[in-house]
Amino acid sequence: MSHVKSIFRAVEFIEQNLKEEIAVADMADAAYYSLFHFCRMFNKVVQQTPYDYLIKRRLTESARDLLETNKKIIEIAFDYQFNNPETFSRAFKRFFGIQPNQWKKQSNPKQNFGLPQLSYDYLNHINKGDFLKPVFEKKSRVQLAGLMTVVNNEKDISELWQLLESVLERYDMLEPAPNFYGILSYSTEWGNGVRYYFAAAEIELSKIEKTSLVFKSVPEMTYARFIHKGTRKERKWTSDFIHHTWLQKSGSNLSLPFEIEFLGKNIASNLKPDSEIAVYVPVGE
Amino acid sequence: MKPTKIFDSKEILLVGLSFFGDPFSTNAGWTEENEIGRLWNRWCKFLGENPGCIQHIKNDRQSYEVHVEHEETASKGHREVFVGIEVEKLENVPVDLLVKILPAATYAVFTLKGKEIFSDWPKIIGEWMSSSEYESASHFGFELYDERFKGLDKIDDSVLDVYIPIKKKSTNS
Repeated sequence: MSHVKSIFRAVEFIEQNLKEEIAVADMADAAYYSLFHFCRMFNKVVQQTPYDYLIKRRLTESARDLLETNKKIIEIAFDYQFNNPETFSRAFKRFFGIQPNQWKKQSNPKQNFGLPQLSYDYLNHINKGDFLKPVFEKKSRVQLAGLMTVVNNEKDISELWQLLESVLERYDMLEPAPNFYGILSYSTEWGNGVRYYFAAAEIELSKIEKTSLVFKSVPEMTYARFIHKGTRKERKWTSDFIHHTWLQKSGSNLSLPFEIEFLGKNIASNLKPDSEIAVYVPVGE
Repeated sequence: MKPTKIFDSKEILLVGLSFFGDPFSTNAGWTEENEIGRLWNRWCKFLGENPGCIQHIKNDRQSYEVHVEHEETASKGHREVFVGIEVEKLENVPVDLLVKILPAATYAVFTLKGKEIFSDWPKIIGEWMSSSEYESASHFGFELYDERFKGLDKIDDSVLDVYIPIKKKSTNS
């Protein structure tokens, strides 16, 4: 059986026991591994330690309970196996940046927060190779022209690319082929759920007075460059990985809330199932 | 997998360096990039920069990697890993180094060859143990690296001995 499958069994076990007193050794039993081998394999497959994963999942679900139930903070802390409210508050603040009582009072809470339960498909995706190890790269200013839309599903993105291609053709801007960029923006924060996609081509400033297009200038910045391997549908998991695992683990901060996909000179490459897309994430110190 | 041998050992005195935590939190691959690999690098660097600084070395071609399980091993996956060399007696141990004393014990010795080194051998040993007349006697164990271990990049040609403290199962249990 593959390691991902075994580790996913442990992930399911954790999920069923968020409110129970469980140890990493119990997770290893669920995966049918020795404790030592389990720690190695869990870290390899999930990219975090099994104990950290358990605590982050407990904190995430406790945060949900704070918003959705009328339980007292102390009850929720005990529900999720924290020994006392102080330990809970400290761990909560470390993970979410605010105290549980401030979290509970939020007027406009995020839809997605913390660490969601990891799915089997997600784990499979991030285990396709070493491609999720980023390279840091400075990219100079780039001038883009294209079309923007709200993204509800992946079909919206393919349709947008097709539309852009026809518009550029009309303006005679496909010869010579420009570099294509896709910019995925999160309106305010990653957790908010709303996504915009800007499908664009790199163009010279002199050519920008085309009314059918919108323009964007991306300043020189430092990026972490990831290589997404797989379908457009799986693209979401690469972003998930970057946001709920890599950023925390690496200690990097998102300097702006978007990701740039560099697609080279071929739009079609971006829509093929086995394509590779370079994903640039703006990061600060 | 069956033990290559079972033997009684005196107390073992080790001088070396130590790590406590989840060694794979930074990198879980079979590389030198995780905390166990870093520990080895730290140890080799120290030996290279300070030749002759350890006195009474028993066998300078053998290195120990000791794993000690603590209370937090089962609950959090944290463990102690100690890397070092055996000495006849503890005298003038450099201040940079630590001492680990393994008690006299009976060990089951398992010889891992090639790819077996990367397998889940603790589980395989556990399975042997439960069907044998022995049980684990303590919460530590060690790997003994000597000239038969050629390196992680030459694992197919490498051999590694694993030592697990054992005792006879009590008959009335």
